[in-house]
Amino acid sequence: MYILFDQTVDFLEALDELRRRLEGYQRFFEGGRVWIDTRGRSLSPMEWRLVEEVASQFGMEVAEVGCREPRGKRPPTVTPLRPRPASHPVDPEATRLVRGTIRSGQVVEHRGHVVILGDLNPGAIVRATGDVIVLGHLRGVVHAGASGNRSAQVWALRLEPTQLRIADLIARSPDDEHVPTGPEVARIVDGWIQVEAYEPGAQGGG
Amino acid sequence: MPGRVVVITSGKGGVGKTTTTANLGAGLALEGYRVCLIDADIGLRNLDVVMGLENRIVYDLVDVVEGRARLRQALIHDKRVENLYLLPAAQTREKDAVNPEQMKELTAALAEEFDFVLVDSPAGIEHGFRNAVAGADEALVVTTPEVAAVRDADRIIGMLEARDLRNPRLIINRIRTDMVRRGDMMDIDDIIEILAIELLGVIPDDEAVIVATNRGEPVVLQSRGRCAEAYRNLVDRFLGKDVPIVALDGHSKLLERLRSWMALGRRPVSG
Ligand SMILES: Nc1ncnc2c1ncn2[C@@H]1O[C@H](COP(=O)(O)OP(=O)(O)O)[C@@H](O)[C@H]1O
Ligand SMILES: [Mg+2]
Repeated sequence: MYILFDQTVDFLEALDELRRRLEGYQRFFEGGRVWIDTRGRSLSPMEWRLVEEVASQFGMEVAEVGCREPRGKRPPTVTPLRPRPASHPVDPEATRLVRGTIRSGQVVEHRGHVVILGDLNPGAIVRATGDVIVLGHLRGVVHAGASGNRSAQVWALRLEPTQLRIADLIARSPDDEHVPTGPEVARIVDGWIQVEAYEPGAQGGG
Repeated sequence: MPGRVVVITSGKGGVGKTTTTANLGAGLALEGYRVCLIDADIGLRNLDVVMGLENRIVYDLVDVVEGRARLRQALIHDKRVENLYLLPAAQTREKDAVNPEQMKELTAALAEEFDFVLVDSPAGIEHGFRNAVAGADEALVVTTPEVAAVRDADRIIGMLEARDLRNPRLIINRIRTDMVRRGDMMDIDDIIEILAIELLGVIPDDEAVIVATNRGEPVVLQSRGRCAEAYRNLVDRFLGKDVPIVALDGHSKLLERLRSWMALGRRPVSG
């Protein structure tokens, strides 16, 4: 997992938010490595320790803390510690974590998976080559597996997208108002985008 | 201590920015604060008309920025309320007659003299918007309970946040309880759920506003009426007083629930 700490946000607040959001997803991130990008801000030894603590609490290991300089658009360039087959479409650990509500007119684009810690509002767009996970209300447009990966999935605590795309397939919400009552996952089954309730353990969690 | 510079903005036009600026400003001045209203809608000025001060304009904002008039010369004193002043926009000039740097200087100078400087923003997200927000310490976002207006409000909130105007607060204008009850209008909680910002006030849709506007007299100056009351409520909440958002028959319970939900979202760090 790739964590980006926004410089303008209070460090402890960001950490607390991260911990809270991760709480329901222990198994999902277990065994993963964490890369932390503080965008030019350096972490004190104390802050370092806190990050490690939270990571280990969820079964993750801190691999690297980077202090990249802020630049315009920055797709994270993460080098995995273990070599991977070159043909692998997505580095499963190159996950971008976005904190806060994605609002109308805003676009998040990323090579890899995207995790949104907040809502994706109508008029907002997320485009990722991997999976898209929204720990909030998904009402905007999502394109997962954008470079053609048909096994990409879209998860949301409330899945009510304006439009959903996975690889080369497009689906829109049914016109009769279906109101989801819990977390749902969308994926391609038999050549169609299908949405079903998310049951922990049922589909191997990414 | 310099005063607070507050921009009133919306994204979509015609939702009530100018009306809100006039009433909030007049309401604050009635409470004894020194208030200056700035009409940043250059080329389409109308805050002076809503305030009934059109016939007193000699100099305007562009005259001040370009050095043809001193700030004090251009300020128009309100005819009813002590402590209330207006810096009018130029009617005849293009929007790009002023740049954000100049606006920053202007609002900073005014904040030295006034407790509150309210900037009435033009519609849209372009040059005029950048000018209006340039010197602001905080922002109020106005929307009506319509899908398109809320969408544009969301867009604006994103842009405000990108400019470090972090916690903009929301004013929902022109709500009609009868339509909400029938399910024909967006509910307050629908709007808050999407925008996820603090609700500062709710103003009912009322022809008293239009009548007052046409007379050039902010409705908040009237002694009675639900709109006058709603604006006074807005003023109180703006000043940090803990008053419930105007009771919209039967809706106050819902609002209580919303407010506690908002508070939860900003829970202090537990450690
Ligand atoms: N609460 C309200 N009830 C009825 N009419 C309103 C209300 N608020 C605004 N209006 C009317 O809506 C129109 C647009 O308002 P205005 O404040 O000029 O919007 P903006 O500055 O956002 O373009 C005006 O004619 C005004 O009188
Ligand atoms: Mg206006």
